[in-house]
Amino acid sequence: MTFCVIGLGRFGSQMAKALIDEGFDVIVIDKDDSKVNEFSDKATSALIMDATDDKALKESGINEVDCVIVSVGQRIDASILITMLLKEMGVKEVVAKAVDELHAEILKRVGADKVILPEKETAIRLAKAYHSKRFFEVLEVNPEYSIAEISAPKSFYNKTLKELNLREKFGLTVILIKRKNPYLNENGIPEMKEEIIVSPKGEDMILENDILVVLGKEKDLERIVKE
Amino acid sequence: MKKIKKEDYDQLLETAQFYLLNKNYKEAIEVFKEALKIKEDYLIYYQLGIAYEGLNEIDKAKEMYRKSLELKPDFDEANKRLDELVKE
Repeated sequence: MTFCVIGLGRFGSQMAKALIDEGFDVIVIDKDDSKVNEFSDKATSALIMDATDDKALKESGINEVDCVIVSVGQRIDASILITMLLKEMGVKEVVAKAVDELHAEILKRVGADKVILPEKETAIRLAKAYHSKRFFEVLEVNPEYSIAEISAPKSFYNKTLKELNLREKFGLTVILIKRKNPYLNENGIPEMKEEIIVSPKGEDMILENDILVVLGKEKDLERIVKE
Repeated sequence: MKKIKKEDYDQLLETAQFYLLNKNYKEAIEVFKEALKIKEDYLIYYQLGIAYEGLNEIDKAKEMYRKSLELKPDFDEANKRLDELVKE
């Protein structure tokens, strides 16, 4: 199955990354070359173009794609136009991101097969979880699973992932560990360097103040922050 | 009298930085704050920013970097850290 993600803002780029990690063929499109370049070695193809340009969109061969995700940030007019163009070209499935209810309604009327309101959904979830102060970010992968960025609970400190056995105990997978390390630079001034451990292994240890990016069911994610 | 104070002050900064580099952020913050009572300095605010960043208290870190920049607007390190946090 081939996907195309148009618009590499926060939502679009996380969506594209998740799809690539799942092993799908993903084409990414954005006007901003720096955003597109981030995907140049990961995506099937990474195109710098304005997707509201009818001709360029046709030439990109996008009509061959199984599902196109339109996530052009706050530009309501652009997302409506792109959705219309894609349906006219015969794209099988168009999933469009809306910023509010009215926008969602218009997108449905111009032919979007599915409309998502991630800002709203994430905001509600964040509001619910925020009292713990441990959730930094939540991204819904599908209705069941989410990816959350949390600060490591105290009970995890100085334990390896193997010891913690989060998959068995909580049904959670740690996707990455973010850790900030202070050091003295060449001028003798302390600085911070972020270390990122992608796909940590069993022997990797959680340290105080680590941030964990974990994948799991919502109720399990909520359980972990209460730890 | 003044000389002793200066030594005390330097000692405080050294202790605080030792804590900071060893990731004992809370202790570092306490000692830096003690030093601030003696004399305001852009480097102390900046290092407080680093300590708060270590604790993932990003809003406080930003506030400290801004205070540091108020005292020394062309301070590269503080500008760099603040830029990075704003991007996050």
